[in-house]
Amino acid sequence: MSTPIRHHILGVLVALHVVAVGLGAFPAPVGGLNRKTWKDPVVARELDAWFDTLSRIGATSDRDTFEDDLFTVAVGMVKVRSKLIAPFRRYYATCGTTQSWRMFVAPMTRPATLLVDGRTEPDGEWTPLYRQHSAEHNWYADQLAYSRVRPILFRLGWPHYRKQYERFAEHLAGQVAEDHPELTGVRFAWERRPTPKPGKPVDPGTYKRERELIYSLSDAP
Amino acid sequence: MNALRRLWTAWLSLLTHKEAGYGIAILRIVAGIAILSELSGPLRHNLVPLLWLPVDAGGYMLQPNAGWRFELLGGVSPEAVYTLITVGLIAGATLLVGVAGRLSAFIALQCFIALTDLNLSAGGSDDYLISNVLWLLVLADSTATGSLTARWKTGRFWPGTPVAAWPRYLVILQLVVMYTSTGLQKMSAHWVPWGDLSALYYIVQQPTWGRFPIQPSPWLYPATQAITLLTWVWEVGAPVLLLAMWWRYTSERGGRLRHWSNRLDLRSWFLAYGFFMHLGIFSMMQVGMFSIMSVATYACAYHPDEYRALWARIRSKIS
Repeated sequence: MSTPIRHHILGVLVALHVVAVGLGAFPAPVGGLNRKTWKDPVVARELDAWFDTLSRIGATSDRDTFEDDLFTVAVGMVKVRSKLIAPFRRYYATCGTTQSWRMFVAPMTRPATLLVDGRTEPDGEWTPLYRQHSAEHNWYADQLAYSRVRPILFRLGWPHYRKQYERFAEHLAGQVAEDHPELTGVRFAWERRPTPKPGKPVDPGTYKRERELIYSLSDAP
Repeated sequence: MNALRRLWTAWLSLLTHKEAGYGIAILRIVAGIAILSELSGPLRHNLVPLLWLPVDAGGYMLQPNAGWRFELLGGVSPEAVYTLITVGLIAGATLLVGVAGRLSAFIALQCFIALTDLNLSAGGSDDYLISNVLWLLVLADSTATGSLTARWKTGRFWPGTPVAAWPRYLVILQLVVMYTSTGLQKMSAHWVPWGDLSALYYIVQQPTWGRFPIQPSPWLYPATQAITLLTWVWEVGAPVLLLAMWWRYTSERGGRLRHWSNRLDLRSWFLAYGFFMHLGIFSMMQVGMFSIMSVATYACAYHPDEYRALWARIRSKIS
């Protein structure tokens, strides 16, 4: 008995799905091609470690050449992947079959955490409004700990998201004005806290404040 | 040519196989819960404007990433966003109880993609896992059992109505692809076996994802190194799950490895490690529905006969 034509059609379609999924998940350093970010200390340390490993086995000897070669390979991989998945892009976008599985690819050894402070007098002392995991300074803590806000904060912690950070902070400033009408100003900053190496104590002396933004709330709607 | 034809015939025979859809029904129920949780969360936290609306409508984004779905609704506006949330929630509820399975999954999927695509910074791989699962639920007959539809049709909630088995196989393939791909991308010197294996030591302390502050004691460091190594090997080696399932499927064929794997139930050992890994992630980190959805897909790794045997064992223990 011959196989019904619908079985052959099903066979082709499922095979195409399998190919689309397999190619879409093909590892490539998408998003890692901005060489400015390679200067970030966390990324630079990763590159150092790989350079050390590869130079030990004699695969490379010069740091700059290593970075150039790595960039060439990375660009090549992204290009090949991009060509391979091109026929399936519409399928990914329409049917939700995007294969993006870059999860915890590298730990942040110097993570940044958001600080929010407020003051009642224009030149007065700043007092903390929000500190992560603080029971005392917990303004908007439920919202900032929500699972969809965490990835936003993760991205904004990187210096190259400057404009998005400014807009995000401006949005939060409006929220502060609503929740704390007694305040005249709000200040945002990131605190970069190097994670202590195993066995080493936490050293707040190594914490670094960066990218401070101050908003006056007197004109807030 | 004959070999190719034989291969194609075997492929079609795999795709036309039918079985009771218990695993896919369990996955559907969890996917319904996931959609309800993911779409009601921003409402409960009063975060819809921040997450999904443009700056002129109370958000922070200049231009949300509106796709064709929002173009059909006349652009990104509070009305359009809240409409999609409402429709998505209804679809999530019908998916959960098992009414209009394919249609519910399709509507939930389209609402979910439309909303999560608006702000790609406000999500991650958990969104992709949910959308991939929803698409497989569109392809599957997921309400044939474990649903109100099954109750109306057969008088039983969990009848053994046969459905196509291939969507269940695709769920497992998706799981394996996800784990392998993420493992192959963990090329940091902190992850790889020839590195210092300190990845998990640092990740659990990362404030972005931590549910609470963690600072492992120094004596725990070797344990975090061991788990880092195991996790990396487990992820990169995820195709072993496919192999173990293939060996079970073809248990009548000979071979020492096949026999050993089936006797040991390699598949269950592999999934048990995944279960504890996700339990660890879930208890320490806030990464949305990722762990719950991942573990829910494990339901598809088991044959309906195994569910029947398990149920019979439970009943005999109770009685």
